[in-house]
Amino acid sequence: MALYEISPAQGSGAQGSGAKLARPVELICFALIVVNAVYLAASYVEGSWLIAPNGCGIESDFVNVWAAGRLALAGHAAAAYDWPTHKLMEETAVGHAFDGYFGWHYPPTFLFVAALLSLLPYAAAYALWAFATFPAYLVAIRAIIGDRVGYLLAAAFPAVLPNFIVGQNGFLTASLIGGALVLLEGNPIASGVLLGLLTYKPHLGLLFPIALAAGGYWRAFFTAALVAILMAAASWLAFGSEAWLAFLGNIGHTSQAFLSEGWADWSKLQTAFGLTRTLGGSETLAWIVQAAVSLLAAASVAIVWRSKAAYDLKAAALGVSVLLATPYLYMYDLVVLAVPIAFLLRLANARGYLPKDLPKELIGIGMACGLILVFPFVKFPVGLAALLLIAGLVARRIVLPASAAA
Amino acid sequence: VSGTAIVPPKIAIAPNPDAARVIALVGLTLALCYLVVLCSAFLGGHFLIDAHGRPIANDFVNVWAAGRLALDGQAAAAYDWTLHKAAEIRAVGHDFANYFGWHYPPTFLFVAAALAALPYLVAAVVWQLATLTLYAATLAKILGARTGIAVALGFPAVLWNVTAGQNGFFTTALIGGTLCLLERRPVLAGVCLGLLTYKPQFGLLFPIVLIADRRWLTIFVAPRSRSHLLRLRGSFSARPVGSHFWRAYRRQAAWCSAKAAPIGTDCRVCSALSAHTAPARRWRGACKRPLRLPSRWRSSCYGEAGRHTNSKPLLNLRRAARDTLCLYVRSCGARGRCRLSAPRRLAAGIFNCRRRSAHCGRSAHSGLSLRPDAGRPCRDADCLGLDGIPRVLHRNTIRVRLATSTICKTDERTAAPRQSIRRQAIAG
Repeated sequence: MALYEISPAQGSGAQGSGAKLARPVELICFALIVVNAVYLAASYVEGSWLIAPNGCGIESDFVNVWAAGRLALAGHAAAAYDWPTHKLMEETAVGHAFDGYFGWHYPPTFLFVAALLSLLPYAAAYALWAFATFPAYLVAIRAIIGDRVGYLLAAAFPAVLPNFIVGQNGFLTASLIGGALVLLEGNPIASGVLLGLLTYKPHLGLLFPIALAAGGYWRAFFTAALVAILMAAASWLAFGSEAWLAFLGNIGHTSQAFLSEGWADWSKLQTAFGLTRTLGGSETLAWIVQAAVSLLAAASVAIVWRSKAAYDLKAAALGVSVLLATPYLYMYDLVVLAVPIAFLLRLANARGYLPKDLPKELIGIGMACGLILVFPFVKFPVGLAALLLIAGLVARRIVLPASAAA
Repeated sequence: VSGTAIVPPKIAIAPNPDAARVIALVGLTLALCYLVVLCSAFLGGHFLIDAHGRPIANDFVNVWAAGRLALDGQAAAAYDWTLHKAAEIRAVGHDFANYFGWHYPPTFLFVAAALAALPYLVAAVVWQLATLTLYAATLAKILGARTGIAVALGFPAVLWNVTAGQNGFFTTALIGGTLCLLERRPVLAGVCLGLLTYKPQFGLLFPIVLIADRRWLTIFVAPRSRSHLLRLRGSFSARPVGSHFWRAYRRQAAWCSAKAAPIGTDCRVCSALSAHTAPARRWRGACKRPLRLPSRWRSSCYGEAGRHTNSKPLLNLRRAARDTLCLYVRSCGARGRCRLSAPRRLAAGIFNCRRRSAHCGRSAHSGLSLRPDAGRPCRDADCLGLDGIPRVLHRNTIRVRLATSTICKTDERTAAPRQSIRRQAIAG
């Protein structure tokens, strides 16, 4: 039984308009959406999301954005990189003192967004941020899949929930990466703009220049560079050079705190680095392992983007390599994993796989989703396993082109 | 006759597959919602384990603490609020506001003690899962597996029972089990009802209902095992008169002719047996010999008088007599040990019928092909003639008639013979 029905007559049309989910997949997606929605509603009612039972805000990752934005509004953008000051502003945001610290590690370009959000009260800004970036993510995935079922698949993706809960920027990152990849062939300028905006998370953008250069997408390459420079210049004008200096000085601090000392639990880092540290490896060993994985990812991206592989495969390879290459990756960032998965499905829909082959692929995707789903219950970087599974599926498609060309 | 549809009870609730699918989807979606809410409460420190990693005291702590006290040989202390509260605090390892009282009769201490043999949290989870399984199985029995489980898991009270750690599943399983088993397995139903006394407030109406319905066997759940019942039956069937009946029964031949059944007790036996089995015979016969059995039924039941039961009043009278006899037989069979030989034989007969139906019922449910092949014992096709009927063999004959009329209505392929049977039966 095909899990993902392919109708060649319709599938040959633009972007595979004939995508139709088989009933089991549909039901599973429906169940996962119910899980996402009910979990959020239950957490809100219980007072463990957005607003605590006593009416205060709940501290979570989003507090760092709001506090940084508030500091920037007050004209002290550089203070966002000063941990004690930033922590004080975070406590003001939620209205009570709390243990731990949610650091602001983004370049000053992202302060524009943070300042806009901090115009609203904390909880309102939290909800607005989560619910405004979510549609952008849905639209990006739908554009990749090329059919309305894209909404269903995107909303059902299990990494959606962690991102909602902590109010992080996974949706924005996924929509920028997904949008850039889907627009790259048809509209390289727009794609370049999106990639330029992605520089707010530089550690996820490292492989893009390699891919664009290897593939010869120079228009997008230079547009992205231009946009990045313009953004940096604008932020420099707005927030001053102190902010940039503070940001550059802060990178070392962040690396020291999260990668060397493990302020956050090691198992929360969904990378080869995090896995090595979770298993008890030393920091040096972890860096070596991570460097090997990153170099392998970079080399694969360069090779694949130089090759004559299908564009969907190139995009899927880049989408998953970007996540493998960085040492600093949390569960909410795995929303980006929806992009390579969507490209895999689009490839299946557009070209038509051998009937025997596709269910195998869907089982792999299902296993990856299951791994993300069980993350709250296990203290282990299972997200890395999900990444490797998807990377394996992409690699399988690349090295077995015969079966792909039906 | 293949394609004959017997109408199981679940169809009455979900008349078409789409409705069944919708019920299953809605029920399972709700169940998923409850599961997610429980997971979120668990991760948020509101369910089972609090934010400090300590067990949370809920209603279940009273059961565990009472069981612990019983295991320590201080069962009476479970009713001493101070001692019991101290045991509850020991159970969760920290003090807490409020007191969860143990209000159950000591019978429930068996269950509590068994649970207290496990660690507190494990016991709480095991208790919920085990009783949830029983509860779902009960509803599956009532509604059919798919619909029943979906309805059971999706029912909103499920969430409250789990969060409170209460015994609602167990109570439901016992009440549902009692009502489910009452007609076919009165002894088991009695066992369920007896267990329900752990919550005496839920059992108040049952004796009234059972007395009103004369279900003596269930009321006085006899301390007899099933094997004992079987032995009983075996010994009776070996008797000369009895063997005649059983031989006749097994051969699927004529039940007992007016000649073979002398006036007196055996006549009563014969009538009663026919009252129980005739609809089944008639139905099966309809497939095999549509026109002959009704007359045999009449003659077997009432001898020569059967020929004159062609008018409505007489027909009704006959039914009334059959119902009365049915009740009489039931009460005789329930006493089982009374010295009259005929009722004992009847009881044995009833048990035999029941076993037969229980044995065949399952397979008959799945395969709906109907081939009258009466000569062989208990193959699917053979037993199917008894399906629908076996399930109601021991119900009041009113139900039997309902069942047969349903079959007549839904069975299109054999509709014509059925009508002819009716005409025959009425016209005589």
